Amino acid sequence: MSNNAITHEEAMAIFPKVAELMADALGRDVEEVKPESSLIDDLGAESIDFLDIIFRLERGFKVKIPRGKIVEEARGDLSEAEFEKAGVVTDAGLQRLKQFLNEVPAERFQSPLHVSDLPRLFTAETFCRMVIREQRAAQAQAPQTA
Amino acid sequence: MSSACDGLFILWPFLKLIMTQTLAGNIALITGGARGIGRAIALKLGRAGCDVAIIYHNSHAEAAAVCAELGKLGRRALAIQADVSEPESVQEAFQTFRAQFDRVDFVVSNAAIGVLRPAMELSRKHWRRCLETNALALNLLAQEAVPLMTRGGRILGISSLGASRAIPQYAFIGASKAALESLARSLAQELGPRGIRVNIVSAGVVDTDALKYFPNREELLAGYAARTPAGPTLSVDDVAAAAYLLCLPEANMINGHTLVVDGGYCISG
Repeated sequence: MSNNAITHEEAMAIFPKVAELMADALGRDVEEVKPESSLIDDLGAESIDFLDIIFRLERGFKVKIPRGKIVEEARGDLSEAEFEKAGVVTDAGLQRLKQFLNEVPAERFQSPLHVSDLPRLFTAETFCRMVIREQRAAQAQAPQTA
Repeated sequence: MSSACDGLFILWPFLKLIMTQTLAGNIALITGGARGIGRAIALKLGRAGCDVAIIYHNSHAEAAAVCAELGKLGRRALAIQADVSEPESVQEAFQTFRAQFDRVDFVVSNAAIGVLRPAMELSRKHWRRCLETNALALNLLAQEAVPLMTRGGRILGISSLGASRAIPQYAFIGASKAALESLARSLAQELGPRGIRVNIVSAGVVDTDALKYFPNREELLAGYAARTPAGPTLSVDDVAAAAYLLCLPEANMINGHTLVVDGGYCISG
């Protein structure tokens, strides 16, 4: 499912709850969490925090977000080799990322972009969109009742 | 005579099954049970006849796979998502557990987290995460589990050699494991009169997913292989086997002990 299918307004509808969960995980005031905040660069998140944030989002929204899900979805149809070479995102990969993470301000996509730096791009809104995608995926998989 | 032998021959697969199910009828709960050492312990206890609940953090698919494997063995299996460092989350997990099981016999506190950095770069946040997940969790689990250990029980913690050795980048993980081992001794003392034994399995270098985060993984494995008389490698099944031993009725007088499973690494050199 493409990120484009989720509007900014839809993401903002769940943002207050996402912001609250993120603020709790990061020990921040909820006002500090903005939709465009980079979790790493603006909110000081580390890899250990991402585990906690994902857990809180899963519990808070009753969704399942498997490990590495954002990167996997961001890669989309591109094979690993098409997406990155020797740990650096290819031009095709970068184009795909800009399209998928369209909530991320354009100036944050720097070239060369190392795969290990991908999480630096993720904003609070990125996580709102991920939650919505998982909610939709769960609804699509739920057995249809008559 | 020959017909009796024939009978034994026919019955042998069933007899073997019964003989290997030394823990039949028991109920086990293992944290971090979806992957690595926790998964190996869950399956080992399952094969020994236990019904098994696993607590996992985020490995949904892996947790479901463990339950499916346990189901194939004919065991009741349950996967519960929880954060073992949070008292409320552990309480919730036990609510779910109690909806399926009326008691617990074995609890294994295996889930762990780590921040691999030099001590000089570590913060209070890192301390809390390591200590609360790796050590406090044992106490939180014990507080919930002990009222369900109506026939006595066994509580195990999974530690590592970093509890007593200085390993580069391992400062807070090592400190948390030392705390875990110390806490286990206190719990062993408190709970002994209630028929509950509390012990630790301390593992050497095991090549699990967790080891992939070590920048010097290859060096650690090579160093371990070179120095271990019973090496060259230590598997998750070796660690699970030690956990199993501590659950046997014969281990009833082992209490407050740290059982090192490292193939002799520590005693060498």
